[in-house]
Amino acid sequence: MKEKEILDSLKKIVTPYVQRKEGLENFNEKTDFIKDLEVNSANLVDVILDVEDEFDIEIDNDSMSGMLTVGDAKNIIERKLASA
Amino acid sequence: MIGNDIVDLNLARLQSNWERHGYLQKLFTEEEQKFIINSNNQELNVWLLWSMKEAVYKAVQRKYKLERFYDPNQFVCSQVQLTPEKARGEVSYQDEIFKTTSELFPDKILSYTANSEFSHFSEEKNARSHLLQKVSKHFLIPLDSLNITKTGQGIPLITYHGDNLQIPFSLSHHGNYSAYALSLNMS
Repeated sequence: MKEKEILDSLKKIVTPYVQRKEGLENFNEKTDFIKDLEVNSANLVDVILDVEDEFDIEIDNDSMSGMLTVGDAKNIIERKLASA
Repeated sequence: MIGNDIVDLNLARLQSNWERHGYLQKLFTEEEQKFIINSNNQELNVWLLWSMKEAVYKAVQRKYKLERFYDPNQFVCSQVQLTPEKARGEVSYQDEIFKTTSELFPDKILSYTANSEFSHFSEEKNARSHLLQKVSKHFLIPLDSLNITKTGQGIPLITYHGDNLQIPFSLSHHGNYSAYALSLNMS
């Protein structure tokens, strides 16, 4: 899967949980789920569950621990897809 | 070190579906899940345990100056003693145990680590200014020379003319509520 496809699909997944919509205007790998998009910390789990469903992967606690930015999420997805 | 967390239960109900498949498993250990499922108010206990974990996460992050991380299962709640208006419990992180106190209301839950000397919540987003007023009075520092800034790790600091006052505190806001917890006798 191409990087852009992953980023597009991440944007779609995260949008319902975004409380700061301006943060979506410049959505890139550096975008921070909590700082830039103000995703509630209890909703990060929803993002993770949606990512698992969308890409048919499992995100373990270790990977989840470092999933703070869009780039972190993209790297985890790529790694899981490669090892699937 | 101090940490606190407030959950606006009405907003939590809108924002999160804790009954979603896989949701509890990501946030809670098997023991915690059992505690929630076997309780007679599952929703309350989901957010009670969550707020305890969040409060201790903030305390740990401040204590060890950690980068932010997201690993709720590393914070394990136990010894939860519930009364209608209060809950006490413990949260362990690695080898350390933090005692917590929680205040339970029909529309919100406020948790803080037990070493908090002052805990305050407000129906508005003004916990920050309340906190600075409290510090200003205690140390006899003019309010307008106090400020709250954040470190690169996102840990808030109270500063006086830009210098870190090394005051242990924690801020939280969710929905209609904001809260702080503070200790003025420890550094």
